[in-house]
Amino acid sequence: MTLSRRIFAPVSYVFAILCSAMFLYPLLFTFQASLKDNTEIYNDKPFAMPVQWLWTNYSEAMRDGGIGRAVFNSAMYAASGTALALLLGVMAAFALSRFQYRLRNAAYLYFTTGLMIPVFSLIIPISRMIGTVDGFNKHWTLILLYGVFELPFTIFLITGYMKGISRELDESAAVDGCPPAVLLFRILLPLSMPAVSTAGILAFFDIYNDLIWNVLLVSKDSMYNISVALMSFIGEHGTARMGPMFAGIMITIVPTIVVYLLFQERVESGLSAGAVKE
Amino acid sequence: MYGRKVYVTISLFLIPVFLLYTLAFIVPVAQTAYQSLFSWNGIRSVPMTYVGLDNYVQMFKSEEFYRALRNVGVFILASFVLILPIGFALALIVTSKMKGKRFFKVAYFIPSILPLTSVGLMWQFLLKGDGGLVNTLLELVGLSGLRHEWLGEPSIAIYVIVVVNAWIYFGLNMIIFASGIVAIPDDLYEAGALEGAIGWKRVLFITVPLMKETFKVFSVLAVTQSLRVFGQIYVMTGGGPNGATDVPTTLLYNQSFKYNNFGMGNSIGTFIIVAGFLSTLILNRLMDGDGATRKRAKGRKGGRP
Repeated sequence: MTLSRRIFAPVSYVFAILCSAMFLYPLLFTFQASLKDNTEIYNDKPFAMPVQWLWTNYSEAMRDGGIGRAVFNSAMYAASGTALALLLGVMAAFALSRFQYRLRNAAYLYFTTGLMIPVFSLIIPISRMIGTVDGFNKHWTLILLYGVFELPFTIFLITGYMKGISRELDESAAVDGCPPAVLLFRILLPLSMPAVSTAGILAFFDIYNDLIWNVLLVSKDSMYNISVALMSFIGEHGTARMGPMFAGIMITIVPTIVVYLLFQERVESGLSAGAVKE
Repeated sequence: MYGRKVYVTISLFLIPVFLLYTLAFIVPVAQTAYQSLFSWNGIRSVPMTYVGLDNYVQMFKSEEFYRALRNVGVFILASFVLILPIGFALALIVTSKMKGKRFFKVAYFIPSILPLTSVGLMWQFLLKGDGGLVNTLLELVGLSGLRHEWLGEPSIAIYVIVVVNAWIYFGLNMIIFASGIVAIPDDLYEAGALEGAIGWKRVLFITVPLMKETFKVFSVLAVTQSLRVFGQIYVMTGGGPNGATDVPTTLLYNQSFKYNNFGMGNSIGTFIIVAGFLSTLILNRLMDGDGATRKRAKGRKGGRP
């Protein structure tokens, strides 16, 4: 017994540490490379720290690549889209969870069907639709689309949670003459915060990381999000100078790491809830 | 409770959601299916021409389509032979009593939160044939014979992408497995320990059998998520070299927005939607099999329908 335990523990530590290296080293290398010039990046000493820390790589990524603006755009799309999804989602969840009427289950099924529809398969009709309303390069189309795409999951998650809150609250609110909207936003919404914040975090990450809709619907570089800005920065400058490219990548990933470290548990449960939604 | 007036509120709350959702999901699904019967070059002033099932014939005849399906198969396979064992091992680590497990959890999870495009581009650089980190490291350990143009060689590119994809999502699946592990009550382990179930035996004879439900969820995910892979491939290879890494979603994108063959694009889109629906429904049915019987038995005992 003790023998197998004595072998088991060190082996699992070695495995755990090797895995940490496997996940963290590429990021560490990217950080080092973001401060180097080409000769240093391409030499045979990948572990060496930069001889001279070239912070100019970062200012170049900001200035020539517009990466700073792209981070701002992505965060703005994500914040607005998430707010829209949560507002609409909370209202729908309220109507779907606290009342009895004939079409309720049908409506719930209708909305959650969206969970099974991969949005990538809809890129042709949606970009046509956006074309007919002249919605290319417009903030409102992007935000509306981003928000609505998050609705099925938001509705699914918040409806499920609200169903678990005691109905007696509604009855006493009704007796006290409290209108339904006040019941929702003053009483039920604060009680549903765990589900709302999980849905919100998932939506925020989803939209911040978007690729396809910004590719299809935006051609003005002042509206690029991180994905498109990075790809076009690299497309224009090629790999002639790698330092600024790595710096650009670092600028886009640092905000997500900060958000993750601040809200570890929420982010972990939010993203895994998003994965197992089906 | 509220009187009849409340139905006004319900309608006011549901109608905007209904309209937006219908416009963004249901109408486009119908359009994709309908327009897959037409040929169109993407220019709005040019009318679509009805071609019946020609797009489907073309799709089912094309080698690219089958290659894309095979590549989805590679993703599904990798979920089981790569992500499942390693994700599960990581979950055991972060739910154990090891020192530093908090750090390990963060380290393993970080790739899952990074923007897909940034990670894809990072790996594209690290995997470059000439001066990329992976090749440099191989040389440093004396394995220069293994050097490759990792994303540029058609025979290996899809496997390289699948490994990068696994690197990204190990952490997310670790969390899914970990939530299954912590749901197992401690007294079962204590009882098992009395019978000699410790170390690897404890994992094999207590943890794994009790996590059946989690493994079922994982299996459904492995299939449905593999059908949706897009960003990783779009960023790293765009489906190349020469279509070797295409999956249905990138095929759809390339056919329509690169080659202006929107009819074919729509038939691929219809295929993805139908395949997604069918696989979700069939897998859930299959996986629910014994779970449903158990639930029914419980219901009878409790006297509730």
